[in-house]
Amino acid sequence: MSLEIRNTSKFFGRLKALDNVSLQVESGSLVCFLGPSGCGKTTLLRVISGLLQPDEGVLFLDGRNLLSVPARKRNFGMVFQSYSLFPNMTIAANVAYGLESRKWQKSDIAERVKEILFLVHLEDQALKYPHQLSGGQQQRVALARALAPKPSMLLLDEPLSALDAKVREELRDEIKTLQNQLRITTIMVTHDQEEALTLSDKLVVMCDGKIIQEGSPMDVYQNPANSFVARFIGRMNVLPASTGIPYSRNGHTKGAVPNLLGIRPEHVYLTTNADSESVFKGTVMLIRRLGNLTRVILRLDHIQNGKGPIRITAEMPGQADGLMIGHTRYVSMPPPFVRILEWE
Amino acid sequence: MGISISAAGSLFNRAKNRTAEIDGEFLLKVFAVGLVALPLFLFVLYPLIHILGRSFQTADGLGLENYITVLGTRRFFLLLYNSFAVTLLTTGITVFLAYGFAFATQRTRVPGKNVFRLIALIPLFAPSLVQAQGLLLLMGRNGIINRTFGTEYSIYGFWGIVISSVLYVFPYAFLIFSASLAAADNRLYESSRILGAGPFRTFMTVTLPSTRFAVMAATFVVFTLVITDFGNPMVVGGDYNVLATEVYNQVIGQANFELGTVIGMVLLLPVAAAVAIEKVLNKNHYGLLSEHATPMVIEPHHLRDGFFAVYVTLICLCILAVLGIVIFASFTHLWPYRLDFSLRHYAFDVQNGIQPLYNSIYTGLMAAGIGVTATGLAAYVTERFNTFFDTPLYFLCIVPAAVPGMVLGLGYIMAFNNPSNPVYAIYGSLLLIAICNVYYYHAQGFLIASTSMKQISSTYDEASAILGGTFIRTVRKITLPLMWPTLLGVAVFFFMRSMVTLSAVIFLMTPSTQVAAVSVLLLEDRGAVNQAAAFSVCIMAVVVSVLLVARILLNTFGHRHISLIR
Ligand SMILES: Nc1ncnc2c1ncn2[C@@H]1O[C@H](COP(=O)(O)OP(=O)(O)OP(=O)(O)O)[C@@H](O)[C@H]1O
Ligand SMILES: [Mg+2]
Repeated sequence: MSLEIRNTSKFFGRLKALDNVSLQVESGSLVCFLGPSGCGKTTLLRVISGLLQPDEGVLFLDGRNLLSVPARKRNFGMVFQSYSLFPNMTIAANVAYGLESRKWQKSDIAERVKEILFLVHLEDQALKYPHQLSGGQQQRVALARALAPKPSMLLLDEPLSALDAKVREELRDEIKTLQNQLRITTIMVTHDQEEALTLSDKLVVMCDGKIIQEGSPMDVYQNPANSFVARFIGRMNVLPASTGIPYSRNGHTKGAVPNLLGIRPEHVYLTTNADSESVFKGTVMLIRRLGNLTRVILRLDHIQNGKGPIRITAEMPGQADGLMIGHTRYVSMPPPFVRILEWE
Repeated sequence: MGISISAAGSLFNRAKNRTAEIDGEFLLKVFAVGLVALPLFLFVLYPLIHILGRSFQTADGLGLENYITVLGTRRFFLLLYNSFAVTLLTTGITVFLAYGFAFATQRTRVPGKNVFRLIALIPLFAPSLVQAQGLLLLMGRNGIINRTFGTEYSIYGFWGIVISSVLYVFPYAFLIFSASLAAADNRLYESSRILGAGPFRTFMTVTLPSTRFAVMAATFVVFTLVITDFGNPMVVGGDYNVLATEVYNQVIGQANFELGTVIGMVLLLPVAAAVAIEKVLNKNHYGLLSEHATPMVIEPHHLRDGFFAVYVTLICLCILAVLGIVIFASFTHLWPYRLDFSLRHYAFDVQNGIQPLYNSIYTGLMAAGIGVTATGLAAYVTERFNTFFDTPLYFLCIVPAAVPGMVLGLGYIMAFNNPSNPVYAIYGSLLLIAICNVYYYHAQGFLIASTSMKQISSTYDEASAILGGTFIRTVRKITLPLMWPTLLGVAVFFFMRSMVTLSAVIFLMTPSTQVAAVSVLLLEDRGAVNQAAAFSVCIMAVVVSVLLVARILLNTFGHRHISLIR
């Protein structure tokens, strides 16, 4: 099922929670909404689900106008951040709820519940109550409950954010596997960039109710549309173009003058001698050894912005033995990796 | 071109949205709002308007004559003075004593706290004039004290009213303080101790300020209860009259409705003011407890614990003495002359026999049913429907808190004792008495229900909708199963209050619809103290049995935390 959102806006009083949002969701794909807190991700998801009516705009599902269809007839599955399992029902009854609402046959319901609980590895928990399960298990039940009625689309609102890191990773992979298996069109809200980068076919970056950039995770990562996306996804170094760092124009208009440039820390290289042209002398301010990776923050002694010498983050594989705070290093930033983030 | 297409699209879409809105769900919402609002108009505002109109009604049209007649007399100022004297003194004493009692049960290590708590709450299960009844049995002309010591002491009058009123309102104040003192942030107390503050200084700088809203709330609640109470002053007041008893005397004694309504209006003013102030002050006291508050740890302290043990014991003895003597007297042959055991007063060979007790139970059950439906629906509509009417509806739901029971009852006579009004069909029936009780206690029932509704996350409703559940299915499968313990509590609340209340129903009853609490008053008035006591005991027995059954039911299904006593 493919979804099209066209020129959709939503107001809460004076606040414009969604500002003229247009988006295409391909059939069978997994789309992630990513953005800082309060940027309107949940609002957009709720508009899609039918829990909220947009003030402006149209939604089409496979070319059919969705707005006149109430939430309960849209046949979507949804998983809430707080699970929202019905506390007065067993796991099996929770999963069966959507099937009963759709007036399935009793025997079909029993079979489907069994099948879907097996799919999320909870077949032996069917008769327990939600409060008797762990957070991860509860979230699996929520997923099972959403998937049981064979929805045409799956909506997930920060489904993993209430879980601890290890469970989160496990469940993340499980969601991806399930989604691949079922080929169900899925939209997932998150503010965890790692989650978004690893899971999604299409990444939608939002800010202040607007879509800032959309594209494949690789594309968004490599070519951030502006300094907001650059800072939000990965930790790109953002530098003023006035520093004179050479950059690649990668196909952009020739005459215009760039304002801000960006480079990923893994593309910032450190050497002990000034042997090439595009090197800048820097002093090591901070070293973080993260096991297989070392992150170094340097001060570029001769490059100033308004507030003083610029700091830059570099990442290198391994332990960077021998490197100490206060050492002098030469920083090289190969032009092909220096991106233009903003034009004058 | 692209722009004009999308603009047209959005226009089209707006029109489409509007038609989609005026479907079943919209109509259902309008219907539900009406279902909540109309009865409130009919059974609260309409009677009030009538009573207001009647107070201006004179022989030749409308005028201020009634007010001039009443307000111009010396007697009125005496009544006003008496009412305020009794009420203010009672309020002061009660707030002080109840604070100490709540402090003892929440912030000390007095042994047997739960027993003391329960004793403090027992008066809620008895008819509201049982305190005066017990006080007379103890210290009246024929009371135990005079009989034992051969004295001629009489408690009738000012002090009689004050003592019985203090005992009457004590549990209400205690409940408020108890809830407030239970919520404590231990970190504040630790930092106070680390800063070197002694217990007294800690109390003055931490405890008292953090409970100041409870102090205000209790003050206003107690004030309202005492100034509108007429059972206790009727029984133990003697020649000492107050505004509430005057309303009764004017209406029942002299059938002078106009003067009765004028005094009723006078009574309405301070009560409405007190309720309004309380609501305004209460609005701003959210977030008293921060998210990181740690629970209170109470260290033993011999002097403090000893003092409060004596303190709560003394108060409990007073409460038990007054109630105990009533129970005792009901089982004697002829109080105070023959104290041998007898069940003859339980034969109820008085005017209407045992019927008033049955009437009370019927009324209570009806009030429970109607009350839980009305307040449950009101809570649902105001909490869940997100209509334009939420705030006015909420206000309408709590307005009854500002109306004295006698005023409401009087309003019912004026509004409904009129064949052209459809409600006349049930005038003079137990049903109307039940309805009167429901709307008299509507505010409290509504607040209990809506607080609990707030705690049930609305994402359950949303989850149900996404899963294809209709509105009805959501209510039946999710909302009701999650709400039933609270709703049972609300039903018990209406039953309990309906059994013991006097003021709202006193004007509505006829000989055939007399309820037990009124019987107690009438029998007491006639000097039939033994039978009056027996009726009081029966009321308590019924209330306690219902509470016990409800408690067992709740505990069986794992809802220990739902409190039934309010
Ligand atoms: N029902 C509502 N009434 C008023 N304002 C709302 C409502 N729901 C959301 N908002 C506001 O709309 C904005 C967008 O909210 P939304 O919940 O969509 O953000 P979000 O991106 O999901 O944030 P988070 O990551 O914190 O969940 C916020 O400023 C929020 O305060
Ligand atoms: Mg959100």
